[in-house]
Amino acid sequence: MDTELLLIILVDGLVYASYLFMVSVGLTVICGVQKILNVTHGSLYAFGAYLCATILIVYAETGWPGAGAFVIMALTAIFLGIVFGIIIERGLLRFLYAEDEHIIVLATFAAFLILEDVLLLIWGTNPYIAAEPLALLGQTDIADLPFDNYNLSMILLSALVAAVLWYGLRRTTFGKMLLAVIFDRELAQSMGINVTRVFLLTFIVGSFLGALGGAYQAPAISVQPGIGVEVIVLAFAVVVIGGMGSIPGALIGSLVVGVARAAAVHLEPVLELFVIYMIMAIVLIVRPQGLFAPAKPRKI
Amino acid sequence: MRKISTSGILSFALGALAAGAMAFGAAAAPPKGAPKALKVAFVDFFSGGAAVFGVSGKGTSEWVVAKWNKEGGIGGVPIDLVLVDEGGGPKKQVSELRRLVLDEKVDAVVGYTSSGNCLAIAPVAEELKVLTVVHVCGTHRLTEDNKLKYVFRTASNQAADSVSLARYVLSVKPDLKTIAGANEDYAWGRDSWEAFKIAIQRLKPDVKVVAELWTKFQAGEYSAEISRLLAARPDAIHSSFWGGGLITFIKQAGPRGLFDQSLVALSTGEQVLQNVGKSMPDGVIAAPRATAGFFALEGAPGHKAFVEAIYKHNKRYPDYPAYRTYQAWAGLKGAYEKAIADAGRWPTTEEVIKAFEGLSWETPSGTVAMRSDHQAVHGGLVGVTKFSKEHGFAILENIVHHKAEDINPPLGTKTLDWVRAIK
Repeated sequence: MDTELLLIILVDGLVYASYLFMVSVGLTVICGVQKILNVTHGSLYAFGAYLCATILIVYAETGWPGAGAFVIMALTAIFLGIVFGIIIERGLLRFLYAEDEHIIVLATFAAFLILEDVLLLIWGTNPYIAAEPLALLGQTDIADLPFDNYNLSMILLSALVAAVLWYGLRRTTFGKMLLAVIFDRELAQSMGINVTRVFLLTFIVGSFLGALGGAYQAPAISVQPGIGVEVIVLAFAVVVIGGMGSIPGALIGSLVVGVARAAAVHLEPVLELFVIYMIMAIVLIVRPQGLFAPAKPRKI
Repeated sequence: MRKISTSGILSFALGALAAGAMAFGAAAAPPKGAPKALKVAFVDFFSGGAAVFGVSGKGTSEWVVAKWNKEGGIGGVPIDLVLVDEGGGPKKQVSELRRLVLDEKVDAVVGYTSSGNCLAIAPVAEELKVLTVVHVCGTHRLTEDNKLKYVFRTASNQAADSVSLARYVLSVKPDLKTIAGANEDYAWGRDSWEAFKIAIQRLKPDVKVVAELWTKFQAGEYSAEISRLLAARPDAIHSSFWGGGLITFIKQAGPRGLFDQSLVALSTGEQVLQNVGKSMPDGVIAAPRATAGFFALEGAPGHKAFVEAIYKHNKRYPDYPAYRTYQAWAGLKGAYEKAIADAGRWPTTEEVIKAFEGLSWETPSGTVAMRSDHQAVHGGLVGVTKFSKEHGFAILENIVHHKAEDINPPLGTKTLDWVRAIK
């Protein structure tokens, strides 16, 4: 295999990995702290994409600087993260924390189905298409092939999100409180940590990340019914591979799947669909808890 | 003041009486044994990624049923339209069909866009003995792997799309040397590429395949596939991507120059033209799955009126799901009316089936003929995209109309056997 092909596989792999990481990191954060498999994550992605595309279409008409599009993406995600984070966590989940985790998954699934219909009520079934930010950044030639800088910028965004999350968890007081809650919810509460507040803030951050994934992907896709479902399936696969609730796991899981998929497209395209589930199956056989599952304390 | 003549008043009065009698006759004299209403379910995607198709079909169904009911329904019997979402997968559709027949007691079912769903419901429709008119589903296996009595398909199968594209590609690029395919990895994508590849290599045996890509259903990311297609540098690329997946592909492939490098042929390309606007480059081969296009108004009589009515009702020009939905409803109506005329009373389902076989009916996209194997055949057009300032999106130019016999296998010949032998 020549080095040019290797380079192309690596770049394509990184682009897909960053897409996977952006769509799965919010799910991982909530899963890690609250031990909830949050199916509404797919709705946040869809709302992020829809709201962002809608605003971008209007913004493109104004003729204002194209860079404003990136501010819109960030603000859309913050707005949706706060609004949906509060509504879903305070309005639904807080009544269910004492319940079995299967019940909570079903509740978030029910909320997801309701939100899918809310999307249809607000935006209907026609696709929304905002292309300007994609065109704005231009292309770069790598190994004689043109790549969209917008796609490449998602690699940087993923790295930034991963770095901020790592710093936030390891170097800030809130992060340390979060780690204490992850380690043992009851013990953390007895030490004076306001677990209710930690849960709400975590859910808002997780929801923000879900919406950010949708908002950033919006200019590159057809924003239409069903995009939330597509994402939730991929995100689950990545989270299972990386280990439930592990941020490094989501990062490594995305990288493994991204590069393997790109290699399949270039070398053996018939395996493209199979490769993500093959990796998932191997991980489940060899290390059922996932590659980077956080260690669980043994309680007596 | 203008004088009104007696003869004028007389002829007006006679005319009014005659018109009233005709209207009365059509609306108020249903044949013997007729039900109060003909209950027909329309099944299509109203949610999920395929809703762009279903909503076009739904709007067209609502419009045509309202129009006919105003004109007296079918043989004087109004149509009671029941709308059903096709989402949820084949298993759900099978139980939904049972519910429609056993609980809702529908007289007929029109619909099914997904090839997976139409293959799943066909044997069940046969078992339940319910007249089922499939409108969009494209896989040739529907009529070739099943012995159908109650199920009809009122549109050509995917071979018509693939063969008409293959013929067009070779007419644009007679010196074609290499091709590549990018298709979704399920029945529709696999069958479409297979037929296109065989047709091209049959028509020009020295053409080589340099890449065959199989993507996820309605994927959101095509970066790697686009790199692969750019690296393989094929003369022409075939894709049966559709709906949102196709829009995403066009948005991601356009800026990277894929459409400049290779001649791209999209079998469902016409359907997304109104959505992608300026993102669709000029010079891309696109087809409306062997139907007509609203921009080719020289079609059948009534085409212009149909386009205007659908635009007014759906707030969107008719795309191929709209044409195919009309084809299905008009076929059902034609079969009932023929059966009523033959029987001299309200017909049984079996009599409607007998009338349907061999029926030819007119639609805005031309004549559709139903064969005895319950597969309809009709001609269709292919063209290349060209941005239209008037519309704000691309329409097709350099249009070639293919005749039904040039793009459909003859009765009794398996689709792929026919493609392997086309000339």
